[in-house]
Amino acid sequence: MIANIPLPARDGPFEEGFWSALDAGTLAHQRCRDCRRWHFPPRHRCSDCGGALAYEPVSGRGRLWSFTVVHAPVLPAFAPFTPFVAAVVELDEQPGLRMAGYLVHRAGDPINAVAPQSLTIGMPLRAVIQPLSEDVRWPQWELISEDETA
Amino acid sequence: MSLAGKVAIVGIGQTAFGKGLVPPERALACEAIIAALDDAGIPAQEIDAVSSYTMEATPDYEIVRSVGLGPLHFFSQAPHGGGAGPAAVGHAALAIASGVARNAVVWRARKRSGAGSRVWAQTGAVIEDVWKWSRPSGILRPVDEVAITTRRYFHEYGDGSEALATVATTLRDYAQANPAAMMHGKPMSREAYFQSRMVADPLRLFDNCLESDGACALVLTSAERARDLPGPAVLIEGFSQGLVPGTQPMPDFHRTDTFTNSSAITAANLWRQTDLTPAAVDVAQFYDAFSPLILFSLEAYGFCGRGEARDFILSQGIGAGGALPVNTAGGSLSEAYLHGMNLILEGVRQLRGTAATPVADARVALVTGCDATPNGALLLRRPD
Repeated sequence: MIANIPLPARDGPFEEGFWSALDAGTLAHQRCRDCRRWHFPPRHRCSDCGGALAYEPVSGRGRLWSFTVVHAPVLPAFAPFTPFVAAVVELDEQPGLRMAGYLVHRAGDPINAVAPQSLTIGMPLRAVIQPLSEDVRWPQWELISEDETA
Repeated sequence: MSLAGKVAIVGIGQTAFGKGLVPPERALACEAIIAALDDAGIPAQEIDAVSSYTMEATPDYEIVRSVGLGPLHFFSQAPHGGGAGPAAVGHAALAIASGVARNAVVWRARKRSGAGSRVWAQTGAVIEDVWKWSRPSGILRPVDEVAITTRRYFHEYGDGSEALATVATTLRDYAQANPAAMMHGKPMSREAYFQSRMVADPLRLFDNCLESDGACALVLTSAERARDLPGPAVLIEGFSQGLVPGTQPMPDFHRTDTFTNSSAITAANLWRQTDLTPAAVDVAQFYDAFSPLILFSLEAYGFCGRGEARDFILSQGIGAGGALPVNTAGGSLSEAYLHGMNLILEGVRQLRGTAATPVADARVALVTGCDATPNGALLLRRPD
């Protein structure tokens, strides 16, 4: 955990199911009951077909979509960790279903654990749910081998 | 019904641009507005519309009281930070074209040269807005957000580092001819660009806009009245805003096709309104808080195909004498970062023939808002 990290408010509309899944150590996203499209960030109804949405668990498997290496100056909470990788992951469930999160070798690693030289866009990743603070959890993304994607 | 040719920009004004300017933001705004009114030859009391950005710190009534404008019939603010500039002008133009108002002032004033004034640096302990989904994961600053989309763009279309260097050095070259530019007298070699420190890999220090203090203002009136004014008029040929469904400003990577974004929405509706095409554009002012936004905008507005902006910049050129001169006063990278309002003024100067680096016989100019947010664009032309 990073001390004094800015935290996401948990009381936004349409997102209770997202946070409660993370509280239970799982990752879930909204899915349309009609067209079966996945959606993130949360919304009121399916923005493709207008259908009703419900939270469903996802596999937690994804691929590195892109990343940057963040150098100083940054917010004070992150300053001890620069430079570090900030990444966006595309979930296996659907093209465009993407989330941000730390890249790690093992669950609980700090934000700067992974060297950018070891990264290639499209490499496989696996979600491990970790605390951002006492009250908020978020997936870290563990680097895995192609053999582990099966 | 069409906006084309009904409204003219008849006055422009600006303060000095720099770091640590002494006057407060409100005083800078007044100075720029008075300069624009003097340039237009329209008395302050005849201004009955004002327009600015939602991020503007000075309320409209303070401007009206301080400068002696009004009474007002129309007042507007355009949202989305750097996406707002063309819309601030466009809203005022629509008010004039529809007869709601007769004469408008559009302005933007900013004191951003202090590090603490940066918007991202003011992130609180709890994030309520869309940045809650990305900032706790270390995507902290706008440059980090644009760096992530830029790396993905390089992955899909090939490394664009050389094109970014050409953008940064070309804009710096333009600033050498522009005494108002903050980087005037500070030329930059390609080598110096590549030696600058990384801020958010692959983006370096000189891929980032300046942090500036200053103000810019414009005066608009009907094309009919513009013919009776002493100065040169520039006509608004087209205007649109654009917001692509699913956009999340600014970490805009939640849509399947990240690179068909709000700029594409703006562009399609802009070109729909006119017989002019990208080939008719003599000079472009693309919003450039970060150098890759110029690549993305070249493609979105139809100057080249998807993934071709690198080649366009390197082989056809955006410098003086290039196929499409871009950000000819130095832009946000080397003139000043007035949230894009200085880009609009440069578009006007080009069509007046008064730019520091004039494009020969420029008749049509494009000015765009930020590619990474909901945005807008103006197509400007010289009267026939």
